[in-house]
Amino acid sequence: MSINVAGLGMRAGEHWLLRGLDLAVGPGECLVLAGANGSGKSTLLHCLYGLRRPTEGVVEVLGREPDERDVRFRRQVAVLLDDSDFFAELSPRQHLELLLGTFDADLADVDDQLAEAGLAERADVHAYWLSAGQRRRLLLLGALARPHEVLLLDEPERALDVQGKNWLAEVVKAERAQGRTVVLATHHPPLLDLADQVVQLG
Amino acid sequence: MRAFATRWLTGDERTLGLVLATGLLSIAFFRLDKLRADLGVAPTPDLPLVTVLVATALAWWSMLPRGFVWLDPPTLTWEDYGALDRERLVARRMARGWLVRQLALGYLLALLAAIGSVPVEWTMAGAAVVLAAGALAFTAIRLAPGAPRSRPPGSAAGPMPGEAIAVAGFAGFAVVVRPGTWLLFGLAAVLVGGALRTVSRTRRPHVSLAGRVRLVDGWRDRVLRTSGLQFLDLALLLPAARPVRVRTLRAPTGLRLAWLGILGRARHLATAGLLALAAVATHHAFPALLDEILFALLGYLALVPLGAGLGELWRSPGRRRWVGRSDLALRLDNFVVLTGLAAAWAAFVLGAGLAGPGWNPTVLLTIPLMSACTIRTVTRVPPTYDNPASVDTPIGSIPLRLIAQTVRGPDVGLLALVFLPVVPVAVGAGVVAVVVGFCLLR
Repeated sequence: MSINVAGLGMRAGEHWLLRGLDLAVGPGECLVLAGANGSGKSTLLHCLYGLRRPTEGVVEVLGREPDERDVRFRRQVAVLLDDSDFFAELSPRQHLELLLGTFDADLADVDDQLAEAGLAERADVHAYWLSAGQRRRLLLLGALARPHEVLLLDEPERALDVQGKNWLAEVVKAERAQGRTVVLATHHPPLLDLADQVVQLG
Repeated sequence: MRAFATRWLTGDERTLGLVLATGLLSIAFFRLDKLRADLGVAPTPDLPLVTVLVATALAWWSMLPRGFVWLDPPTLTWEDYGALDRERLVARRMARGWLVRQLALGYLLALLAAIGSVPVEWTMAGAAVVLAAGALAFTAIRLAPGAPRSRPPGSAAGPMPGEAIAVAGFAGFAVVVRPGTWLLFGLAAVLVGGALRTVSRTRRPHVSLAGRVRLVDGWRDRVLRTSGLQFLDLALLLPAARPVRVRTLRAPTGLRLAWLGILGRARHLATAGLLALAAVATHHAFPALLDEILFALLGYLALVPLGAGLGELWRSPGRRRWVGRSDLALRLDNFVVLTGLAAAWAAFVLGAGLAGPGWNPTVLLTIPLMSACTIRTVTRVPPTYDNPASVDTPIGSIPLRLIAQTVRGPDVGLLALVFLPVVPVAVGAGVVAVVVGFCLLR
């Protein structure tokens, strides 16, 4: 299993956000987290990335306790979180070159990736000039383009138009087909259809 | 060295600033007689050293929030996978911040020793304490709790348990005991012993292992800090509140809200205490320095963080809509509470030694002055430039309304301080009343 969660509990003050949660997600599977605002979706993603330690229970990602402070862990798990951001003074192409350069990954298909994300025409424009939806596509591309085994996405559909949401669905299918594990928190019902497992929180 | 050269020796305005700063700092040593005449000379050699020790405590205190623990979100999103070593970046920043403070303290010690003609053995004892305190501070900063991998990753890289008490105790000891040379050397030995006991065996400081949440929070704080300093706007430097235990807020009177705002920032009461000790130490070290200026300046710095609750309402229209009282009522309530707090601070300073022989009662007039300036600082709205309301005067046309809009608090306080030491008490009271009226009504 890529992700194992057993008896997870997360407390915020006196209130339990999550309690007694068990999960097992294998390679090539997609887990969708659904639920109302404040039900603990983002908190669970934070636990899976090692940003927070659960109050009780065990969390394992790729066979180890998640800890984003460890660079080896960060190189295996790609994320799109609330605090993800971009350099306003760099173009989308430069972002990808920067990212792939740190992984020594193949730079040949940068144009293809930008085209698939709908950013081909804006590939060499400073990110400052991108619209909210285009900025979201760029951040998504940042999580997808780099080598990874697990993908964690927090409400990836936010600010995307219809074509953008369709692209997102294709991306999730492609990730699964390549044997990667996807966990995403969403309020977008069509994404539920892509899931191998749906966890309704709250 | 190369980094220093590329940053400071490029020949632009930064280099000019460096040359001017070097000149200003070194010229003081060539004008010692004038400085002695302006500031006065302490009757005994230990008094300038007490000021240096309190400054050491303040320097250490300024590192407690661990403001060097930050990394910007774009870097964390795109570069944080190997090429960039986030731990090394944070560790370097920590060492640099600490070194700058040590150099500043060294300069202060040298200057005060020269002004006060302090004997060599006293200077050496003072240097030993400053270096020893620096060593202890450095080891404590490296060991920030919560940062090691064995601890929860979300927890903050904050001060060591008891670190704040140690700093406050250090400053209090210096002012109350006024240690002699042997006691200073003994204190240095104790501090070095503490440093050796605290020393970490890890190559990388624990504080540099802070998690992504802490790094992003630190970056947000830094953006505000930098903007506040660049625009000289203290309102941007106001600290956030921590939760306060209140049963209900069903009767939210203005006075109660003002008091709750202070309780949420109660951690800054210790800063106010340190500034009070600094006022006492400076007063004794430089008897010719005007007490009104010293008192008002340090009191204002002590009050501003505590008045931040009102500032948050002015900074954020969304928060202001939660409180259905008029602006004037809010200012008045906060002025009353802050003046009470300023009076308590003043009582502490006077009780701790400022009210000695030659004490000038005019300093009491600065109590409402500093709280009014605090109110103005936290409630100033940006200038509108729509109607400057120019008034013709013998020296030309003066845009009165524009000037009134741009007053930030400390400036109007300084203007009042120009008059206070030289006018009769009754006139001084009138000046203060005018400033208070302006700060509350504008």
